[in-house]
Amino acid sequence: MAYKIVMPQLGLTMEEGSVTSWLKKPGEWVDKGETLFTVETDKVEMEVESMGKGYLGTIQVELGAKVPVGTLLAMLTDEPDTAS
Amino acid sequence: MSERVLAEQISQELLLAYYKKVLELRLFELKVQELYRNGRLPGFVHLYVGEEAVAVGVCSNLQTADLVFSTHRGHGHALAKGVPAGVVLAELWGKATGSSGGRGGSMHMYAPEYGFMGTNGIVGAPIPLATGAALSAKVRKHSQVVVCFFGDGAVNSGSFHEAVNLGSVWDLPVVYVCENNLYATEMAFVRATKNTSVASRAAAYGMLGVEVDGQDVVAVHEVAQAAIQRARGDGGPTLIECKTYRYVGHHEGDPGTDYRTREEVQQWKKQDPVKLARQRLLDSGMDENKLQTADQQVEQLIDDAVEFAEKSPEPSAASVTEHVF
Repeated sequence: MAYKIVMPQLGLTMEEGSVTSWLKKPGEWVDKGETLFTVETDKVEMEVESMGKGYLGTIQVELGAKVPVGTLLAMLTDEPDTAS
Repeated sequence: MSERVLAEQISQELLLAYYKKVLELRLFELKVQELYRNGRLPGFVHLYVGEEAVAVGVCSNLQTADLVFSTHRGHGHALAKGVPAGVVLAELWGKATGSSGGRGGSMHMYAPEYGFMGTNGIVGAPIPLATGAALSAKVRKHSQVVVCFFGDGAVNSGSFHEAVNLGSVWDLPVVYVCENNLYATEMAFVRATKNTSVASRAAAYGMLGVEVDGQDVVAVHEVAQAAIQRARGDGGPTLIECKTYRYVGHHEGDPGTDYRTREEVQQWKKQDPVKLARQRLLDSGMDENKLQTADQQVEQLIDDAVEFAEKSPEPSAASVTEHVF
């Protein structure tokens, strides 16, 4: 089953954030609980663990670009996405 | 008393029940974390991940009529006291089916029909409330026992000193349970006080203080059982210090890494309450298949709770003037 990775809500007042790094590459397997990317907000920089598992698909946002909470960052799928 | 001796004293059936409850609290909070981060749940949440054995070990000794007063980190206390997972989740979701009709949320969640007298956003505030409830039980000659949970951050507040002293001098049927997770938000307990033994403070009030491994549900259960029996038998209060740890940040959004080391977090995860309870069951001879069935039952319970809460209606606009003064 595909799992959506979105810009997480990290705290009550957060409205947007930027991904500053990915710890996995597209096509790599990601387990639930593995640290997947880091996010910077106006308050913190934080490592984010994966809530789902699967093969990481194409990354949809540029590093450092501010995007609203809930923005799709990438998908996790049962099969590796051959296009990526 | 060694842990082995304790483990032999309780039946496999009870041990399995404790394990499933500890797992329920864990999976519930991880689900809340996921829903919150995905922007589904409103408000502000403090998660109980890592501390589950305390709530389950204590509340497994309580009856429905007994009362629990909780903290800002209280979802686990509500579940352990018997509030159904769907009702707790619906409350977090602001739904009409939540225990407080969706108006309380994480830190004002009440379910008196289950003896759950509320989570509380103010550190230390529930301690006088619990003491008052225990006084009420004593005056009414009711057999109720009151349990008050609070963190290490509360024990240097005046409300702790005043309330615990009153509880002791009046021999009230209350059990004070400190969940010492070593940090009050970002403040390390060793930087907040010279006397880092909370249990030892009981001597100042002339009451019994006990320290216990808060990661071991059986150890907590045994200590709490003695304290609750003493309270019910008019033997007065006990101060229990549970040594525990939160794996996550203080609240969702706190990375939890600026004021403690990753090594420290990893070290505590080696004494994980879920793993410890599971290992006790394996040691007691339970086979892996039976444990997997138990795991699936708890996972299903959480899935059902999500479905219930998600499908529940929002409070109606017509009810907006209810519960206000």
